[in-house]
Amino acid sequence: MILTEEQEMIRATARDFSMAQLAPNAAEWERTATFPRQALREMGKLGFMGMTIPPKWGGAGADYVAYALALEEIAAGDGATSTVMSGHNSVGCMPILDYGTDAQKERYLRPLASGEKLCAFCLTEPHSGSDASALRSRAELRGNRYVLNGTKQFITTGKNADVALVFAVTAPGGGKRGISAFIVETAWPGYRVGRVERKMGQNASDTCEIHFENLEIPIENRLGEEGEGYRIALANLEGGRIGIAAQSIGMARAAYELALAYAKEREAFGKPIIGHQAVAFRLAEMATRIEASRQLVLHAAALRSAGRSCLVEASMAKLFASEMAEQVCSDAIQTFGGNGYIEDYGVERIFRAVRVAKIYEGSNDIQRLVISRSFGGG
Amino acid sequence: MKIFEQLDHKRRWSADERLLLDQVDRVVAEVIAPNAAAIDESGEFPWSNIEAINRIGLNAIFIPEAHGGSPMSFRLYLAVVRRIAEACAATGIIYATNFHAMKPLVEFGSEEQKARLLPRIAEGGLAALAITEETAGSDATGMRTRFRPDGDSIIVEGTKLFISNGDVADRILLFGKYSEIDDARKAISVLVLEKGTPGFEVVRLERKMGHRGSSTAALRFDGCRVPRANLLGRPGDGLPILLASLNRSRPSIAAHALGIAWAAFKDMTKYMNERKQSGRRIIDFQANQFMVADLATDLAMADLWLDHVADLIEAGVEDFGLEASIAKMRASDLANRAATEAVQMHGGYGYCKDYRVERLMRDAKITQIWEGTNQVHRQLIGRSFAEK
Repeated sequence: MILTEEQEMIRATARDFSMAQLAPNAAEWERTATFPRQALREMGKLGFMGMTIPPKWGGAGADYVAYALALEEIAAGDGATSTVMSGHNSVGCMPILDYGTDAQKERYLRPLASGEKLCAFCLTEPHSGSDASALRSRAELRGNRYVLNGTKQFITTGKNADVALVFAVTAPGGGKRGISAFIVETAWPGYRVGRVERKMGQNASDTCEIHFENLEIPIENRLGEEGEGYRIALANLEGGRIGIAAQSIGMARAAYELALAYAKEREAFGKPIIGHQAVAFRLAEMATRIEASRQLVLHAAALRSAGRSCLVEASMAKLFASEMAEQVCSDAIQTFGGNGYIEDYGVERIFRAVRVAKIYEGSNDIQRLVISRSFGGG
Repeated sequence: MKIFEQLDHKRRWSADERLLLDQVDRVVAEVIAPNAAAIDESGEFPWSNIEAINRIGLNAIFIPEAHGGSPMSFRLYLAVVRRIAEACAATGIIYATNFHAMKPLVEFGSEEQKARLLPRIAEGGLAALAITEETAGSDATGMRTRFRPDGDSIIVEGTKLFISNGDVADRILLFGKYSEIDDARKAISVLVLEKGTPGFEVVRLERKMGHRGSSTAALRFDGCRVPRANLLGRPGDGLPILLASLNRSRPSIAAHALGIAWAAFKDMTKYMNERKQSGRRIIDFQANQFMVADLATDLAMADLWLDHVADLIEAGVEDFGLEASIAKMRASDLANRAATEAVQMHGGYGYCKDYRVERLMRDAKITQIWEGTNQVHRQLIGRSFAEK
């Protein structure tokens, strides 16, 4: 893909920021599970927290290609930060842009798009992961408000978000059509953060259990119509999947670059190890698959920006890039030999961070299902 | 699981062997498995696990009777390593390292050396194998540690890197270059350094991705004076001793990796039978079944192959290096594959520390690197088909 000058510029800005503000801190944030709040604020000022939101609502008004490029750069600096950015942009801001009233957009979208406030997407529950319609959280209409009860699981930014998009059953027994979406302020009574998960990686990004205990939601905070919730939840999957593909590429690239630099310096059997065919060829495979992933995601992004459906392309990009990233990061560790297993060298942290990319935002088997269904399979 | 039960049934343990394995199973269930997560979390050396395995005399099984041991078959040793590693990879490698480090002494040491140095190990002491240095990983001949003869002693100067048990070992099997021999390969020699030798320093303990309970030390030898009587063989015998000992340590490492693979496979299939989505157990989805099938097949074959290697050893076959390489390479690849699929099948839970599979994946990675990277093994195997 040939980039426009504007896309190149956005990428360069993201890269400079990422190398200066994220990369030097990533190891420490991971080790201490420190949320990168200040960095996210800076990213907001640079327009990275509402990239595809129109300037009318406080966003950067950039296209999806620029978004994917920027996200790749942020991820190359710190995977966890890119996860917050991706979730906030794709399933935080976008549903409000697409389904919100002007009042909702004014009140919520504007501060989210500028990065002043953060948003969490609350869909998953203990019994409802891949099968997203199996949710049990219940929002009961009482007069001019809904009363919400239930538990959500694995919510990214659940603890640090100001705003949460919550999906709950409004019509029990109604299946997918019985689910509605709500904009909830996390400061409201009844929003309680339960466990904060200790994870294999990305510990700077909080992943939480959220309990709703008789949380009262004003009726005007319902997003879209009653019964539209499931559709809203799935409506921005394309953007979400483009995001995960982009972050996978960024992390893989960072690991690859570390491995490449090491292979040029480290000597064994009389020469830098890159001079050994097996090592050089492995790096060649890594570079090729990173580039292939990138082209796939940029293509999906270009379709999205052109207003064309890209459900299959986005799924393919997410599937391919996340599988690629795990392999590339594993190969990067291998290139470092014993050093690759040591925290100080950084590659093992990236491997741990990227592993979840095959799981969230629709596990890779769900991606395979989407793709195979597109041609009559499954 | 029937396939695997059949394989186990074929092994036909003697009564003594059965007894020991039952003891190991008990120690694993009562002590080692329950401690595993905490050890990984804290990164502390699992002394209580070591005490537990010493209470059943596990070091003794690879030490000759004359020096306090109760030797048992290599096949049994492999089974012990696998069981321990399945419950706690870190403890598994601590134990296996005792064997890797001391087997060369058992095989190549003089009676005087064995009588003096082995009893401590037989009763439960710890050992370390010190080969790797900063400039000598895959290419071990690049090592720089120097052995300088001085009367009845040898003075040791140098550093070692990535030494498992290096900070706690009672006996270190240490490789270095004899100063009076010029040739890089022919200078390599090996001696036993005992705990408490002045000049020995633990420079640091590495923080690692996994195997966090197993200490991995950077060591320095600053003019350590070692009795010349601790030199194994003659000066310059180091490389042949090293190469011969790899034949034993590689199958051992393969058994350890298979332990991790097993743990992952068991956790995974158990969870898949419990977890339901879209009205079905996730083991009932075809794609998942195919993945399980491929893993089970490869696990069964790796299992059988390791038995084959044990058979070769028992038959007294001299050179089974390639078979050992095959075992190590496949077992470690399987450990990684099984662990990552196990994480995947657990979905989001697989990424959380509360579930064992998260640790298994971190533990698995190093198995493709140590004891000869899998690239080195591929080179050894591939090269063997090149006609001279």
